[in-house]
Amino acid sequence: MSRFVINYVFGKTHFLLCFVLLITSTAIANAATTITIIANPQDDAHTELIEGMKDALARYPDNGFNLNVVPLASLDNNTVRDRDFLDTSLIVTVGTTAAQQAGQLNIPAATKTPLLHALIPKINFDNITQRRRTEANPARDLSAIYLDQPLPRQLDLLSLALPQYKRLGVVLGPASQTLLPSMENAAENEGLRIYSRTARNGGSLIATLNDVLAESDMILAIPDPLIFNRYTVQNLLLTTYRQKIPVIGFSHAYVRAGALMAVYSTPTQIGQQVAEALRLAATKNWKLPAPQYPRYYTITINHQVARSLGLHLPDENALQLRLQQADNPSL
Amino acid sequence: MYKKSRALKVAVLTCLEIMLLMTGKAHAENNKEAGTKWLSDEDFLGKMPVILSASRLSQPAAEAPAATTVIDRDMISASGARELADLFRLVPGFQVGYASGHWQTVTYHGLADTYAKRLQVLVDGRSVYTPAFGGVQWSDLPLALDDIERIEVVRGPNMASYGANAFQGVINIITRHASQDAGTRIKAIAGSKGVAEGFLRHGGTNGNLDYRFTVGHREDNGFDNRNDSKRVSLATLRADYRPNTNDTVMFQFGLNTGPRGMGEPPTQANPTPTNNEHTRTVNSRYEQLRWQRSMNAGQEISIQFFHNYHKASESWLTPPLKVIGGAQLPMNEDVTAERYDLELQHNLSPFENWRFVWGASTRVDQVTSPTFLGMTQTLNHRLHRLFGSSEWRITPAWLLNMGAMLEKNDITGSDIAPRVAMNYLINEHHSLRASVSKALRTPVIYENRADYKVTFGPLLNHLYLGNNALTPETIVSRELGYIGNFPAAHLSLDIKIFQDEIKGLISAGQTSYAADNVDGKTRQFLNGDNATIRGAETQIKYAPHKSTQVILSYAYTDINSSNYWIRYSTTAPTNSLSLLAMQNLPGNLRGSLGYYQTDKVYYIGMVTAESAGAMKRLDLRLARPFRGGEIAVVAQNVLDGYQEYRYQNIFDSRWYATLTLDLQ
Repeated sequence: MSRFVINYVFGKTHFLLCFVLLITSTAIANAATTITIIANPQDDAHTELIEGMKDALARYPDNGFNLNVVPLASLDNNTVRDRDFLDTSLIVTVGTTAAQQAGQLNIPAATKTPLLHALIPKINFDNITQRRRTEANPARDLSAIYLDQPLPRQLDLLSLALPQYKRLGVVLGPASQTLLPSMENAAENEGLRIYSRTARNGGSLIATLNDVLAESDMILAIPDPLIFNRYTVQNLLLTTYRQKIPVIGFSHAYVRAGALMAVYSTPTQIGQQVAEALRLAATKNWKLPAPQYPRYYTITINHQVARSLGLHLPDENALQLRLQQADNPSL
Repeated sequence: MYKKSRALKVAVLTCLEIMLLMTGKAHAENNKEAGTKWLSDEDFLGKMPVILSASRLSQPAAEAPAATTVIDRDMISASGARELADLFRLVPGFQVGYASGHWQTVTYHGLADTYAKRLQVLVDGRSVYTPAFGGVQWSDLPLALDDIERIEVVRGPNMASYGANAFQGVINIITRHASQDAGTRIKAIAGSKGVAEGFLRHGGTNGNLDYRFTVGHREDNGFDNRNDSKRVSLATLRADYRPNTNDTVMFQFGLNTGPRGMGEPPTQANPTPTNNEHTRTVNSRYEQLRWQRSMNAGQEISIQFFHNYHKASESWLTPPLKVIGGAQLPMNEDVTAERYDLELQHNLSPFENWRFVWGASTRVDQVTSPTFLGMTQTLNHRLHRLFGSSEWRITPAWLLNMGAMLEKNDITGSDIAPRVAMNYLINEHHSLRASVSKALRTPVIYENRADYKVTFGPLLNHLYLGNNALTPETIVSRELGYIGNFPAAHLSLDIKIFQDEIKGLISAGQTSYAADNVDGKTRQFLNGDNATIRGAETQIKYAPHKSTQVILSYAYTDINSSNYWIRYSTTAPTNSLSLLAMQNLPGNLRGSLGYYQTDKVYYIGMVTAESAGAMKRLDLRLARPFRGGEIAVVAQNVLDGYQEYRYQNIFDSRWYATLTLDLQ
């Protein structure tokens, strides 16, 4: 329902109206702290995240935050104004594009404000911080809430769901091969053996995958622009299914497509974490917490695939509970 | 001859043109994506198509309503088979016979002549048994062995899921998705007995379109001392298009043309055979279009249309015959058969423990054959069916499979074929199954409408006559099964015991007929014998490691028949065994061995003396893959020669070598 309302409000025809409303509302609630969110209102994930933030903030009685949404398109076509960022204590960017563009924003009111990047893959945030070191304002406070899951969490899930499997296959690409040492460390802690190969280009993906499959009980999909994307996923799922080897994906869509299961965070869940981060920052004079992985997550299993592979898995709720305990032993 | 080669040329050129167009675009696409170190948020948040859809996911053996055997790519290449039909030797209870070098008959539990009529054979959901005579002309299928992803064989009737003709079993051939064969493959085969084959396959992707085409030529000399060589030119095209994340459209086209050797040489006993040596020219093709919408792994809707066309041109002059004063009799056995089929299917899973599939189809089979049917007009045979099949997991351990098909056809009217199976999953590794199913075989057009007269001025010999009062053959099959996995021993085991009661077997009985100038008799089709088939089958798989696999199949079959019109009781071997072993060897070599042994078997129409004896056959294959290809050598039957189908067909040792090059 809430998603419908957001979509409606942000619908193209109401764009101008909504803009005006937002600005007026900012003016009225001047007493509150203003958080400016740069997002693409046409993107369902972005509106979901903002809605998640709002819901989370609304749960506190002392909600003194004023959310001011600046559409990403206004950065693109330079219609953004100084007053859009007036009295802003924190800028939250939603998505990689917003993060890239916010750093380069040449508006006096915005250049010193701390930046919290949400819904951004870790590797993209790393690229941005590297680039920004050479830029004009290195002292600016910068942090992120990643979109991807920490590796130990994914490996914990594998051990809980498929304890009989010990050989984990991983296909890496040029961008993700740097993950290997940390991956091997994490696997060792779980008692898993990692068998990995790096594909140099898209053409060698299947040959590389076949090498890995020969030594693996299961495949962990690692996000890499070359290896696991919407174009290669079809080939990958067909090849692994042919050999009856399960794939552990990293998104809901991946599971729907045919991966056995995935742990991922919904935009709503990340929105909640953003809300918590900004409440914390507000108490610390807008000193941002360190970049962090998602705290809230969802597990989805493709039961039809599990069944076809002859795998008997615990249900999602049981897995989630056990994974939370593994993640945070104090629970 | 000219016309045929021109058709092929046009097809090849069209394919090449499409390839050139597509590769050009594909390269442009790839360059755009290359060289980025950024991930797209969309990779996490965007939509993806359902790849492993309901129809693509296979049922685990422990939960299937019937015994099934899967022949996968590894088995296909390890077997060393060059002919598709040979693969079915690996399936317990199946028998494969070469009536001639290019004419294979594949049957389950006997009851077969040169046309094995009681199996449903599907290629990507397209039914390929011939409407004229039943049975599949395996050498005429527009299909290259390398394009097959896997073959699922259902051992037992299952009309509710696979439609008409799924009487004794189902062969379900699934070709590779076009996206799995990117790049170009060139393959050449050469060997003894005149074996020469060449294939070119190219696959690629252009945005949302995946495509693959294969062109090839195959030839061999068949058996020694028989006129049964074949020359096959084939071309296939498969395109998978994805307009959005939920929908896919698949298009296929295939062509198989070329001459085949037919007929018998003169012998001392019969110096002037009327079926003397001649040539049969085959022109076989199909087009298939399927739209599929997958909502998730449990829910899917599809509409499919296909058209099969098979024309066999066969005319010759007999040697001078005494009965007609030393003149040569002109013979003609041209047959054109076509099938148009439209099918709707809907898979759904309304609850976690309940899955359901239902659908409807309508089909027209058309046969033209002035000689076999005694008329120049085309005969139409319409068939409509409605089918539903449900799987209900009553408790985690108990699974109830139920299905039924309602069929209405021009020949025998309306019939219903139900099926029920109960699976009990004792634990993760052991399960039991009990099932009862009924199926029907509607008479084929020839059985219904045959009117084969040989005339030379007056009627010389009235050979065959159809019968429009035929009723469908019926089978009631009862089966008990056990499936066990022994992970510690790396063994999996499948056992089936069964009893099939078959009634009203259709055969060409004999009736006298006054006008006939040769023997005064004509053979008319009738519902003659009944048969009860009992037996036990097992398949055992031992796979201690991916580099070692052993698959053993064994079947015991006992046919008890009234044997009044036909001696059905000897049409299946009592014992049959196959063994496929694969082993990776040092030096990056892949070795494999296929051993086949069956008892004596008689095919229908063969007199006792002509029949095939017991067989023992050992095939060996040694392959060495290298970067971008593979080289392999296959020796078929390194043991003594044995008789295939009949005594003239001696399958002695033969070999061939294969070179495969995969170009990126």
